[in-house]
Amino acid sequence: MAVAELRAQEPRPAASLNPFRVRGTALPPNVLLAAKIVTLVFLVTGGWRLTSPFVPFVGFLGDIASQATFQHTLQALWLIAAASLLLNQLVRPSCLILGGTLLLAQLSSMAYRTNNLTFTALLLLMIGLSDRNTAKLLIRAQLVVLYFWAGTNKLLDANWRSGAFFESWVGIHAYGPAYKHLADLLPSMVLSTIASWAAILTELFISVTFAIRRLVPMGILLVIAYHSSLFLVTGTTFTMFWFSLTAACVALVDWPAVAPTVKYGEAARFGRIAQLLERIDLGHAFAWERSDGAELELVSGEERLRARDALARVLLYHPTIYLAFYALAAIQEPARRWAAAVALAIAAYAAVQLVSRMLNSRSQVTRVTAPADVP
Amino acid sequence: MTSRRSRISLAVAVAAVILLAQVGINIWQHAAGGTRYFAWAPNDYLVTYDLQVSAGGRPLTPEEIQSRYRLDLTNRLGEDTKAKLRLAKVERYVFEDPPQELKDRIRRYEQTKGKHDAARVTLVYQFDGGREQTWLWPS
Repeated sequence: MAVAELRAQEPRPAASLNPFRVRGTALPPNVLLAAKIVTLVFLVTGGWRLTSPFVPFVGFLGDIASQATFQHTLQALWLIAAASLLLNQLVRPSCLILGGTLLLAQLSSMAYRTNNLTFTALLLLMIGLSDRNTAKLLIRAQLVVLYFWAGTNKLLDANWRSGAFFESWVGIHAYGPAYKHLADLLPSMVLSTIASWAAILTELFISVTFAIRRLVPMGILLVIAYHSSLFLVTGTTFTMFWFSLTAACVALVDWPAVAPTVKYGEAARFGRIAQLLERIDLGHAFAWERSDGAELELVSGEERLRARDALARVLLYHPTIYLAFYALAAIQEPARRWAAAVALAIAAYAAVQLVSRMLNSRSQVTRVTAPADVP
Repeated sequence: MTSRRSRISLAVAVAAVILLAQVGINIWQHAAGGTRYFAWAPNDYLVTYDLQVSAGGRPLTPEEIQSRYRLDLTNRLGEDTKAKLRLAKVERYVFEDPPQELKDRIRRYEQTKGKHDAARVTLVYQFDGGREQTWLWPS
């Protein structure tokens, strides 16, 4: 145990070139992981090609260079910053360049600007402007602004309030027939109106959860559940939206400051899985310790978890799993709804854990206070 | 130490300006009316439309129109869908931003890069399945 703790606290070389490593930089590990996820997805999906100017929002961006020169310059900057970030070098300036070039590309082309790319750019900019103390606050603030206005925009729109938008939108997509079948069981427009108001209230409520610190875990679960449900039903990630929003949630998870220690015995329960997880721990996110017959155990600071809870936490803090999951989900193929199903299952498990923890802490408080209440 | 602190403060100040700018842009875009540029309105609009363009008296093909305005002219509206949603028969394409942004893009292109082409544009569209409307350039 003492050896394991020593290994966990051992100072590691800062700025390791290992792309799977997320510790030892100016950013908190999971915030750096979130930036790497977004960057990786952008690479896999070909987003790094960016754009050439077309009817720019800022006039001179269309005139400063030829279209090809402008685009190639942005691409070169983006790719250099991506390599730098993935290799843990100058991580904050790299995020600023990644977000800045993406924002500049959108300012240079009316046709290229989308909400999902704007959010991706701003998430990277917020990470680039943050440090270990401010990262979560800035990302939360960005999410509050996004969801407050997304909900408010719908609320102020008569076609959203009446369900007219939803009725048309659902009608032109491939999942229309299933929706239509359900809608036929109800009076005209009722289902569309319910769905519209559900979206409006969900988005406004999410903005509240990120504004109040103790509600952040609920906000994370809502974002994953809401966007993964949309992904599951529609089969689309809405380009970068699903990736960037869920990555932002990864950045907001409570993450151990020091690499947790994992003890396990190969023959014990979850031993084989732990062995596999150790093998794929390419970024040395954990201090692994094997001992015969020992039950799987994770020690992180004061916290000591066993068996299934320990396994869940190892999966939660395992950067290689995140990077592999997002890279696979980013590959364009028709059956990628699996990623949404996985995300929903994780959110459901986390929600059960959160509720049971709340109930446990409440019952402990009741037990402690009960004697004083007895006359 | 002091310079480090002030550098951090500067970064947070820049982030705060970016956040406040978003609030300002959202208010401005709502007050301005029909557009939602850099405002948060993800997938909130549905425009079904058809676009006919001629340049120098010659009708342009859908491929030429697509390239001219960088629009996605994938034909996404089948006859069954149009009948169910009571959309105009000519409408074939889908645009998922406010209709004013579609008009802005065409108008600004024709006022700048395409100003010597003497283009004539006819846009027939419905917004969120509402009434059929026609927009012409030059108006």
